[in-house]
Amino acid sequence: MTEQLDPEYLSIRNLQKTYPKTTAPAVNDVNLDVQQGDLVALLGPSGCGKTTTLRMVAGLLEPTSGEIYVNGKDVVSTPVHKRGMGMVFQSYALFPHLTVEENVAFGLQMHKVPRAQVAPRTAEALDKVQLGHLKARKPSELSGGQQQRVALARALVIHPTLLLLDEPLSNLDAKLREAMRREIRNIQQESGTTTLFVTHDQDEALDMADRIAILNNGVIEQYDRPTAIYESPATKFVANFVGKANFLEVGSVSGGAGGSYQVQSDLFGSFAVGGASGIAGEASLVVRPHRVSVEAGGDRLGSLPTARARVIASSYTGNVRSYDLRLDSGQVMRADKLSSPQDELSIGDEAYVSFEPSDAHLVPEG
Amino acid sequence: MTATHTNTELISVGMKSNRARNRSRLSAYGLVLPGVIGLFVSFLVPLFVMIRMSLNENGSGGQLIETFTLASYSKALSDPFYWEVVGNTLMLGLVCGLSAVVLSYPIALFLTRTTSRWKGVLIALAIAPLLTSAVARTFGWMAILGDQGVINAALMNMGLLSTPLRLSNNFLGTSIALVEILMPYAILAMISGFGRINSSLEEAAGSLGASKVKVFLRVTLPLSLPGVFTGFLLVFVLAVSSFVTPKLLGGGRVFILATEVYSEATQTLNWPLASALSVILLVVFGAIVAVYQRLIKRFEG
Repeated sequence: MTEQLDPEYLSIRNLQKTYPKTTAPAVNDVNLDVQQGDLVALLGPSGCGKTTTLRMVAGLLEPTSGEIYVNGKDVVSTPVHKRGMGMVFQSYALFPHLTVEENVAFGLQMHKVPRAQVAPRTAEALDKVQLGHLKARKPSELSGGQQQRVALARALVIHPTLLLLDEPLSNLDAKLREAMRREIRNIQQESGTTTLFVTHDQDEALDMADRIAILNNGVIEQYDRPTAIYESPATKFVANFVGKANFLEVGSVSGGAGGSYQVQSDLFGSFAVGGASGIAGEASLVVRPHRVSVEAGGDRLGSLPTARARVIASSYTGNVRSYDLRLDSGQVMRADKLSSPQDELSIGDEAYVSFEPSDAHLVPEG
Repeated sequence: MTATHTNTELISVGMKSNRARNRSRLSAYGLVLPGVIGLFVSFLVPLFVMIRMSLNENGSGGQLIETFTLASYSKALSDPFYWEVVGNTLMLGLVCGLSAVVLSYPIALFLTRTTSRWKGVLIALAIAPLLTSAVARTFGWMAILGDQGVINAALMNMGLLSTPLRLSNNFLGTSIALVEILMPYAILAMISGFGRINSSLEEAAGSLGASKVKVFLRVTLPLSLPGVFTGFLLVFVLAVSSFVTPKLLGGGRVFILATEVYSEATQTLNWPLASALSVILLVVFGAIVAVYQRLIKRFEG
């Protein structure tokens, strides 16, 4: 009966870690619920506590306080080797003195899997990452991507209760990283293993995760689906960290019922926008650069919030043309447009910037 | 025209770089030369003189007869006493090597691992005994292990013993002192050999279900073996060639090749035999070291 009260597969409750000889906690009252089979990304800048959190879940680090429930059972007092979690380290941590096959078989041997099953299960795990033909090699004879796949096979072969990935792609070059994203995601979904994934790369998190927890200074700023993280950031930090953002000052904010606000801006006028819940005081309006329209000269675009601006800088990356525009208030707004051979603005040109209110999102200041 | 021009330019550039390469090779030889001369004068010449000496003959009155004979070798190799001496020497090397490695292993592992800010000081402390000469430390051990030494005096004063333990003037005392004297070398060799052990490897093993003991046996120990082998070899070589400690702490009752070479050279004045014994020491233990290295290399793949 009690099990049914707790539908979450992994529950982190009030987790806290203060390192010795420091005063500020590295992880401060983290709460997180992960459903079975989900891949959750812990995303944040370096030093935000994401790796500390992962290591506490793995059992490599003892929490100062808090609980970690896996399948309803508190594992905080369980030593690392009895947690049955599979971990992929940033450096892969393959055993250099063992072959690829021995590396993968290691966990099975440690879990006392009958000898007759070790070889077939190892072979199966290696086939899943397409490395069956390299099983006799030493890790030092493999490329970075291959080592990464061995590490993944080694972690998954023990059918872990939880798969923990610590920045697994950060040592790969950009092209391989994208391919591995897809591969890890596929393997994770195929095996249905609940996964925690630490990364500082927003693209990785948005692309791979079912849910993303944004950490900053040891605190979860927002925990939501990727689209919600991007479209409806809860804080200024989240809006700034995930994707590019313009923050527009707004004069007064009213309403708030159902996350809908009426804002009054000196430049853009008065309009209704969605926003994070419970904004009372100061607030900023988040407008993504690619959703800002720029029109040269004259016509104000009917009902859309529009303001006059001057082009002060522009950059070109082939498919995208970006403009920095100074509004009359002095604030600079960035606008990204898919490039086209026509209607290019030059520095110094006057233009009108506008956006759909539904593309804007209100976040609390500070 | 332009093509030929660039061609000749290329060739001249090539020649220039060739000349530069020759010059740099020449200067490399020049830099090595002093070392080669030093080695030749201080090592190869004495070695040659020693080998030559071992082929001379020892006259009945102790005078040296210049000749070419293997008499000293046949004397050394046909006398069971000298076989025993070789055996003792080998045993001393093995006992000291093994003991020093076993005792140094935890110290070296700790010194490699510690994140204390005193790490540098601790490493310096571990090798600080090297600052004192082996002679001084041997006398120190005589004061500790002797019949009236610290240990025996304490045990007898407490009434636990009536006759002193035989800790000095024998193989045991010699081994104890040598192990202590040579441990810093083992520690240093192991510290430098332990670099391959990354703590995330042990964490990975732990996460895969290995208990602390299993982590040590399956990951830490295998990865530390190269350092262990180097440490053992270093102590072994230093122990089999040691002289002061076996001479002083052995009290004339520990017979190893170095002490026998000394007594043949200074007391019997049989220089050919002393030289022959030195050559035997060099060849036998050189061969052992060579075989050892070969085995290690195969083991490490």
